[in-house]
Amino acid sequence: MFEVFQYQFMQNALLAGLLAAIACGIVGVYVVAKRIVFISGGIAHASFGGVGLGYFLGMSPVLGATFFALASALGMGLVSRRTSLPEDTTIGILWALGMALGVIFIGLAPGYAPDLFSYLFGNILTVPTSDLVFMLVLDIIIIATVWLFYKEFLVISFDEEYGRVAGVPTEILYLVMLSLIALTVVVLIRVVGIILVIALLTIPAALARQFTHSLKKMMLLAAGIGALFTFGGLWLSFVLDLASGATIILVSATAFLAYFGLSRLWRRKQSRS
Amino acid sequence: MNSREVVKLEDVWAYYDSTLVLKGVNLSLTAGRFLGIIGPNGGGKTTLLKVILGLIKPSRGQVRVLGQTPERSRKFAGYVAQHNLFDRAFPINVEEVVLMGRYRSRGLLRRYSREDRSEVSRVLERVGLPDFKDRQIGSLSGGEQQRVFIARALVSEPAILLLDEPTASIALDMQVEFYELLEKLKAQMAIILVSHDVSAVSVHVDEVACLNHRLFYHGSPDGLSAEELARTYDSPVHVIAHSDLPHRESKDQ
Repeated sequence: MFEVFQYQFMQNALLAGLLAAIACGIVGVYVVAKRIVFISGGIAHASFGGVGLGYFLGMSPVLGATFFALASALGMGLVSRRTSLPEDTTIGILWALGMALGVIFIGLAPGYAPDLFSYLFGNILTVPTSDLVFMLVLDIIIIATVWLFYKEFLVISFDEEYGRVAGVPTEILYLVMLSLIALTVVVLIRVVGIILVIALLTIPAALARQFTHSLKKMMLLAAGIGALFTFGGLWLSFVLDLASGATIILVSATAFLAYFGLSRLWRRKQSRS
Repeated sequence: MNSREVVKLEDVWAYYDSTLVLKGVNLSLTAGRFLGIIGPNGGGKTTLLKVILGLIKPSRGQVRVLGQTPERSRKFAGYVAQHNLFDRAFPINVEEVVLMGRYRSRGLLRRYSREDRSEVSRVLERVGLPDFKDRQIGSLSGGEQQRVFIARALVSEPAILLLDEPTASIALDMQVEFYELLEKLKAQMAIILVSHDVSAVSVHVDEVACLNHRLFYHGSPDGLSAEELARTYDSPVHVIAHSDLPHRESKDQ
């Protein structure tokens, strides 16, 4: 039943799943710990504008998405820090604006956009080798940045005001952190698509959090759990002939709910005896 | 300028969000003194601390801390913010929290050293939490958490210590211990403590300041009269007969 993994497209899919799991494991920990899930959703959806722009200009939609994701991340960060506009309002506006731009650009683009659906819901089975290289580069950037700024990111995630007092350049580092989320979103688009990104960014990290209090260990654990989910989902989608991105999310969500259901049952049993 | 003058505020007006909360505040504090700032909630106590830290820029007036602007002198300040503002489930242990206090001596791109870690252990011992290094911050009691944040402020060896409602989450019997610790620290730094707990503050501080948008009183706690307090709180204050200290019975706490 595993002979399917001999195919080139399946090997690419596994590699893409691994690269995505690493990115979402590391960055997802910050997203969950700093509670910026909503801003991550905003960045993901805004990046659809870039996919549209890519089609419109006849260049790579992934490149367009990278540009839009970064621009919206910086936009949300700056507007929320520098103006009195509430952060969630800004996120809501950019979220919808990006999607709207995407729809308009695609409408204006010549011809038919055949794999549009795969940007919305992901299709890990069609990842070309060139995209794998791109994902690898983004992963390296993410790991290097977190390695360099680990102690600063810890301060601004836990207690940003204290960071300012202690002399941490909090605003610029918050923007760097949002940019990492943007890059992670781009990595994940191929695997699960724009709409489902949030699940892979949050579920592995939220599960990892149940087992450790150390941010570093959480990252490793979340990357491992993420890889397990993508591989499991990928295999299941192949066996059952279902959409890969959605199956990966269903596997993740099921595992998450099962863990919490079982741990509740377990605790109830403990308290009764 | 007096070289021992740690904080000097001249005619400071400041907004919090869009509300004017400080109106023409003048304040001066010298080294080695322990100042308690009391006043009603919303009276500008926290804002005053943030002005001293340079986190809020006054709209008018001048602030000097150790003879410099607050932004530049910030590195000599230890700050313990109001307690209830952090996520208790955050995946972080006590040592990592206190290490943040050593950030200034490291800066960007440099790891905390063994010296930083031994300094953290020393300070944790000093605040009475010697074996708590590896504990997740949320698993500690309110009073223990508060001592962790005080340790974080102390580990940077500050010249001025700013505490915002530090006793709010500490059990009554622990408060005595807490004030004894501050008493010892006073020799090395100026301390400003903000509280709405009039009686506790009056017993332990060298100077007391009453703040309700304006500064109504600044001087020895012995000189603080019930009338002065009443003006600060904008309401009559009941002086309890069996205590020689003014004590306010308040319903809104």
